Amino acid sequence: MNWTASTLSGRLTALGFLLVLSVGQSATSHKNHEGGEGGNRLPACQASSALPSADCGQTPTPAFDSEGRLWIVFVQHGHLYVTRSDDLGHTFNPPRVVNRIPETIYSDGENRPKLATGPDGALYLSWSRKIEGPYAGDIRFSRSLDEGNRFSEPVTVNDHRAPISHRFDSMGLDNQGRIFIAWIDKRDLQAAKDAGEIYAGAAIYYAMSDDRGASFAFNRKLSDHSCECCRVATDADENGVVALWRHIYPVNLRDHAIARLDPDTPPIEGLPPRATDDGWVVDGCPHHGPDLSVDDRQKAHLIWFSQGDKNSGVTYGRFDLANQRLDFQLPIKGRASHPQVLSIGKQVIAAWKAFNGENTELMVMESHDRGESWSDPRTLASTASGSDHPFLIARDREVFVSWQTLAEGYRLVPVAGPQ
Amino acid sequence: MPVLMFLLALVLAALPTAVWAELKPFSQGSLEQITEARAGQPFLLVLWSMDCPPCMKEMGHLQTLRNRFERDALVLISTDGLANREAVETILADFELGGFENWLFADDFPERMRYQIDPDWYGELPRSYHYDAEHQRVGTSGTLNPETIREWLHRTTAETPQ
Repeated sequence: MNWTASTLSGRLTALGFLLVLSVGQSATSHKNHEGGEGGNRLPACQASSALPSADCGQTPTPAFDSEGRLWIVFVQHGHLYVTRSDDLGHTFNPPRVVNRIPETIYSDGENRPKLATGPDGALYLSWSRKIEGPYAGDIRFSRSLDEGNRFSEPVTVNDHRAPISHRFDSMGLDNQGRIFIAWIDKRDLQAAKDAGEIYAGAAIYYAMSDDRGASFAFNRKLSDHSCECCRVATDADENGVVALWRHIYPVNLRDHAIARLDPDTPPIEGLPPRATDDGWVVDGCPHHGPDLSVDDRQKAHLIWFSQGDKNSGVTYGRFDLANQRLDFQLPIKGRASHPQVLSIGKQVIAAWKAFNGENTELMVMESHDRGESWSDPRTLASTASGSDHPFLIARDREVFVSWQTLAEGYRLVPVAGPQ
Repeated sequence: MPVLMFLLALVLAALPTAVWAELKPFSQGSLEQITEARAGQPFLLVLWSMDCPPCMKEMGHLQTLRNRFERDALVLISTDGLANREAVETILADFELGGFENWLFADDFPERMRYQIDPDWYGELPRSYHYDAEHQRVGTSGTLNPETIREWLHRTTAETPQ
């Protein structure tokens, strides 16, 4: 193996004897992981015949069902797999494959499959399939109505089928059991380009299913001009599903916007409601999407990353959905990145990764008064290897962080805090 | 034999610079290698990734201005990881930037590589560092526009020891 462009290797062969400077450097010894921070360094994962597992697969993403069982979706060799653990992640059932025909599946920290469990035991999956073309992708969906034994044939949810970007899916279920999938879509950017016009960023589109995922209604636009390379966060309260995304406010101001996914409401005209105000002007890709958890009093708990003039680093904030304003914010110290937030009644938990020069530490802090006051941050786990984004999940009031690290594999870490 | 060498030199000169694309694996100690090889010289360090559309815009600007850079005055690092090596090489060839020193993140602990480059950089792209001759540097997040690049070239041409 050499480091020369394979597409040019034919031309190079004739001159091979002169090209010693561009050959002879072998790839480093560790195994390639398939794009992004996934895969695993555990010995059990090294063999090409390694069985699919939450340890070896990429981007394991968790959800508890209504009976408190842990479900994980992960990606391995072009397949989505779903597995279940009845003992909080100590052992897993044999994984079931979702897509029988392999696909190239976006599986990095920001852009990865999603799993949701319905109140009736249904399992819903969404993901972004990579297709031919720059940044091109389709939003895919499958479900299981028999506890993960069989999965429906995957369907494409975006009704715009040109080979452009429909990616970064995010899924939320409202309290009627309706499924909302929101994503970043470049159809309007493409239309503007075709018309010779300028269009900043991409758009947020979404689709809704009110028949447990048997079908999806036509795609709706939520807003124009989203940032094109950060995950979108969604969460539900009794009034429906709320989305939080990094927006491009004029000009190149990449703060966050927040809005409800309401099929009866037309797309947002003009600037969408602003959730954060950090003043980060950048013509670039932050690769850091926000997280969101809406409580039972119309308070949206937010956590996000910015490098703005007014505010930089990771910040927790609370957005009052009734009054449409950010009523509290708290900067998080240290080198925090890829944060998560989860609210359960009065309790709010925040988690993030922080690299200290040698190790990545998984940090948490808690509030017991809806985000007014917070515990000091504490280290919950750590790794001296690459790691996936962490996820906060809860079983009733018991909170856990789900985290895969290359050296240790998958783990579900309880967040037992001061009461 | 001299005739043969001459002919080969002609053939090589006629090949696009992309042929010389050589991706060096970027891991612990790589930044020192880059800076030590350029002691006393100003240079522009550009970090980019194939999943970053604004990076492609910046590479377009660099392509336009590529002939104004000395070979050692521009260093590019792709953060895409070894698994994407071929795609990275294709992009470098498309933008005719293969003739410069090109690196690819080759460690599966990206935080550690980012920290080595700059503890206060969190992975947003494109990211660039202007090193002056004393290697005092200024970091910028976001696409460098052509005017900024031209201005830098103008300044560094004045600084470069003749």
